[in-house]
This record gives sequence, structure tokens and C-alpha cells, in this order.
Amino acid sequence: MNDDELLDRLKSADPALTTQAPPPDIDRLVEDTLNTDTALQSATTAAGIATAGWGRRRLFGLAAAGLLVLGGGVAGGIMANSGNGNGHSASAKTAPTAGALRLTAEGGSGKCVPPGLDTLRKYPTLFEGTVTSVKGSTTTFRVDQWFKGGDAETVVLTSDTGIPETLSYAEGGRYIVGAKDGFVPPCAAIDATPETIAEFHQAFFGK
Amino acid sequence: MQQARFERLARVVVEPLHRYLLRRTSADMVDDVLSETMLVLWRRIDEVPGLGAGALPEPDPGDVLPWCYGVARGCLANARRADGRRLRLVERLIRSHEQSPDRAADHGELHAALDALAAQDREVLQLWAWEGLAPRQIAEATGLTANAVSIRLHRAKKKIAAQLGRKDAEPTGHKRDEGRSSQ
Repeated sequence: MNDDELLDRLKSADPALTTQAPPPDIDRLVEDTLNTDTALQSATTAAGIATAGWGRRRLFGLAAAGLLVLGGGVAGGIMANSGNGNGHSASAKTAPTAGALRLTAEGGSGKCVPPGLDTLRKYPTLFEGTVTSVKGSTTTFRVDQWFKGGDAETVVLTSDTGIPETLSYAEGGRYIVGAKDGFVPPCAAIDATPETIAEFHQAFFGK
Repeated sequence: MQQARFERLARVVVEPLHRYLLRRTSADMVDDVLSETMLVLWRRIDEVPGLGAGALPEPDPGDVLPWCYGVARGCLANARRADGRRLRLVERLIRSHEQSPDRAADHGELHAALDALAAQDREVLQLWAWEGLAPRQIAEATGLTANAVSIRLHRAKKKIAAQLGRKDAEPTGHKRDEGRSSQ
């Protein structure tokens, strides 16, 4: 079977050809998007304040970051965090405890394209690790390789499960995780496939 | 004006994104994920490659779509993560039952062969065949390098062609219109 035959065969099996779903109403979608965004921003800003009010001790000064991430949504994401890291560094700097690096995962109401090398290499802390345990909101990584900013053998990542869309990690899974000032932003971790690992090794170690 | 830019973008990408999602998830998830995708596109409107800053012409789908597929892909992955395995199972069940019986007979083997591919290989192959993207555009949509895409695409084509060839060659299988020989 050559490429053209295969292409024809795949095209003829395209599920979109046989769907009975009505076509999307673009005008309504545009209108809904613009309205939802405004409503969501005010709602999540309020949620951010409520979160701060709970006084989650582990999250220190995350109130400000929470507002940024929740209120700012995706566009905020990485850019806001990297551009506005003063709040983090002042109050939430993390120090290795008992040999393990402790990080906090930030949640966000937005979504993101899986980040690539170019995005992740901007983080001052970047490692490839295998998840050894997931207990509640705490994920423990065995570090397979440090690319930047650390030498601990273990990384303990605390996720605030109260924030929706926080990244979830599977036990035994391998990930490449970026962090800044002790925080892992919403779009700063990817599944580490052999290709991505090779790409990162090539970029950082030239092999 | 940002809203006008977004509207221009929407006119170009909504239908292809809708089809992208229809191909990959259950019909009742499509609308939710499409809405999420549009929300992300609106918030990241300044990052959309190929979307001019001015109020002028409609963006070229070839420029903007790969990036937008990447966003839809991320939103779908988030929705799946949120719903866990249950959703993936439902998606499979729906995929196998939603087709009319004659189509299912025609394409059952093909869908089975697609399901047998590694997830990322399958995505690369589908983006090539169904979304009609070139390897460079697939790289943009998936975050892989163009080189990795070419390798995966080649591997996926080979695997699926071998699997279909094998099925076609089975004497007990359906007689196929293509009349491919068993060589």
C-alpha cells in the first residue's frame, strides 16, 4: 500500500464525514467566548480572594499568584509569572528540605499547548523525573536528570487540588518539569517521551 | 481592535477545529472543548502566529490552524485528564457504535489499526491524513520537532499499511473493493 492509497483509505474513514453533529454557530461561539471571558474573570478573581482567605499555609504568598493565574488565565500563565516573580521570590522561595527540592504546582483556569523545549528552557529550574509516588496532592519525583537549577535526587511537588485543571501526574510516568521561584506554572510540565528526552539532552548536553 | 481580530480568526478556524474534535472525541464533549479552545484563543490572541495585527485580510488557514490545533489538542487533553479513563473508554465505545453498520464494516479494521498505534504516532498520522497538515505544521501543532514528526509519520504509515495489508490478505476476511492481492 503506497502513501496515496493509505491516504485515501484514511480519508474515507474520516469520522467528520459521517457525523450528524450540526455545524458550529460561529457568531454564537464568538459572542459566548467574549461574554464568558468577562464573567469568568470576575468569578475567578473572587475565587482567588476566597482561596487566600482559607489561609493555606503552604501556599504562602500564593494569593497574589493565584489572582494572577486564575484571573489572568492562560495569557497570564508563564509570561505573568516570569515577568512578575517578585512576589514569589520574596515570600515563597523554597529551600531543599531533607535533601528533596520542594515545589508547588500552580493551577490555572486556562489551557495551554504542551510546552516545548523553547518554552521550558526559560525556566531556571528544569528537570526530567519519574514519579515514584502520588499521595493526595503530593507528587514525588525521582530526578533522572537535572537540566538546570538543582542537584537534589528527589523533588516533592505539592499541587493545590482545590484549583481546577492542576496538572496530574501518573505514578511511574516520566515528565520534564520546569519551575521558577519554587512554583511550577500551569503549562510547565510535559510527558517525557524518548524523543523529547533526546531533544532536551541534545540541547543541554549536546549529546 | 482585538475583538475584530478574534472574530476574523474564528471565521477561519472554528469549522476545522470542530472537525478536529469530532474526529477525536464524543459528540457531547465536542462543544465544551471547542468553547474552551475558543476561550484560550481569545486570551492568547496576541500569540497566534500568522494573525496580522491590523484589521486587514483574513488570516491564512495554513498559518494559523496548526497552532490552533495545538490549543485544541491541549484543551482535549485537559478535558480527558479531568474525566480520566472513563472518558477515553466512552470515546472508544462511541467511536465503534456511532458508525452505521456498513461504514463500521468498511472501516472497523482501519480504526482498530489506528487504535493499535502509540497515541502520539496516531495523532501525527491523523493530522497528516485528516487535517491535511505537512510535517512542519504537525510539528507546530504537537510541539514535536519536524524531524521527530517525519520519523513518527513514517513509522505510523508503515505500521498501519502493514496491518491493513495483513488483514486484506486474510482469506477469511471481508472481500475488499480495492481488490488488493495478497502479495
